[in-house]
Amino acid sequence: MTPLWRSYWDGYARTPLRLGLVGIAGLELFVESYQVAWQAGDPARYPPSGALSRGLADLPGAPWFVFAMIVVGLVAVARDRSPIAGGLWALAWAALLSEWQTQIFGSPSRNAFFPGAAVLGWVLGQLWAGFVDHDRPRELRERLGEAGMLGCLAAAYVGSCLSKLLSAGAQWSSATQVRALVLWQEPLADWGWLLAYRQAILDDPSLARIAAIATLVIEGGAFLLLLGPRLRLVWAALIFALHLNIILLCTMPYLEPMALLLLLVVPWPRIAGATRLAHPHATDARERPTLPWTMAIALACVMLFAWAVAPWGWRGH
Amino acid sequence: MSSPSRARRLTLPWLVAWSCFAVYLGAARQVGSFFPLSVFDMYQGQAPDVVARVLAVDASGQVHELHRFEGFVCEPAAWRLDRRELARQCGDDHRPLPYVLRDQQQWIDDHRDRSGAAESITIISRAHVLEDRPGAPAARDCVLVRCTATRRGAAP
Repeated sequence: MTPLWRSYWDGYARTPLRLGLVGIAGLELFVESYQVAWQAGDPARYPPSGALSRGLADLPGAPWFVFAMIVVGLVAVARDRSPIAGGLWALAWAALLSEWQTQIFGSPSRNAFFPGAAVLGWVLGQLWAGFVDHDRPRELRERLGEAGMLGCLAAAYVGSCLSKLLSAGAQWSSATQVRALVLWQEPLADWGWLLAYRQAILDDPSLARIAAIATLVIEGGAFLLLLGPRLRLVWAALIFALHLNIILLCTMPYLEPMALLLLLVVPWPRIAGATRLAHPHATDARERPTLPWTMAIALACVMLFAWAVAPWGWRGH
Repeated sequence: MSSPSRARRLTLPWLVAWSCFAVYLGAARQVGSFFPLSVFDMYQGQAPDVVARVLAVDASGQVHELHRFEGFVCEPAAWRLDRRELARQCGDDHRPLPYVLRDQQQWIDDHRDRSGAAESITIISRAHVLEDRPGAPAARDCVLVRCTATRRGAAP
């Protein structure tokens, strides 16, 4: 009987997955630290707008100190030494960096939220494994970590679709939406074929409407990432195509989720000819879908955290 | 499929994935965006029927992005791209995205007054009217300032 959850990583060491997650998160947060350092150094253009940005502005090298703290956490995750504490440590410092950027730039960098969500999912999966099996075998921890990552990434896309539907309703699928984005962002292009593509969308409301509907369907259907590996691969390819289209039409690169999806859904172990684990974790009692009460409390704590920090949450567009 | 067989297909990773999915979604809806939680609400609102962008027009009337030029010398020298001033000067239809406008101003600031063979350009706000009919959207231009600038990549 085929279980409802499978992964191309099953039966193989997930070390490349773990290192890939850390690499993508580290690179993105390095870029964000660089942006914050540069923006904080130009208060005429990026004036501090809150106590955090005003306080940190006086500390030389503060963005790089924050990044160093993030690296400490990510290294712990990469080495699989205290991955839960390391992940939470990295997330906490990255949250500080994100708030700082929000106060000086005017909005947070949503690019960084994708690896952030993935790290959160990895941590939650690892935590869950510890509650299910006190021996905390790496294979189980990382199997659940992968599941947590995919859960949070799928939620990011479905959340994006929900935001559009709750804000604009069915009107988001109108011919105006995508054409407005193209015109706002960068309607001209140096390459003839790209200019022609953008112009085709601008000139044909039907094409623009199809693009908008496809955006809603692909984002809203991202929960399909949580089913079998083949469907996951197909849907990730659609999301990948969506991001490519956004780059072409609007010059808005979201490379981080694209890299994460590549990491998660492609059968890398088979492609690389990796050796199967000698004693792969079997489907046994530990695989029964159980929610220990301690884990239920941990999940409730995430909700509680969101409620507690809601006054500082950024709401914009 | 009977429910016992369905139950046997449910595994722990499946439960972890869907729980994380539900918790992330629910938590993000409470907070908006607070790292690492986000509702990813970029461009969620309904777009207006008229959208504007600041562009440069060369002497032949061809339209370019501002970043195709450098070495800007504008008159008056203190002129700046300002969203409120732009709407006051050109009307409410001329409201480009704030961060795009800020990036364009930054580009001009960082590429001022390079010595070289400059050409005359006009910086305009172009408001596009989006109607549900085939064909290029109608455009209304509003002249913001006249400058001289050098085409990027041109020999000095």
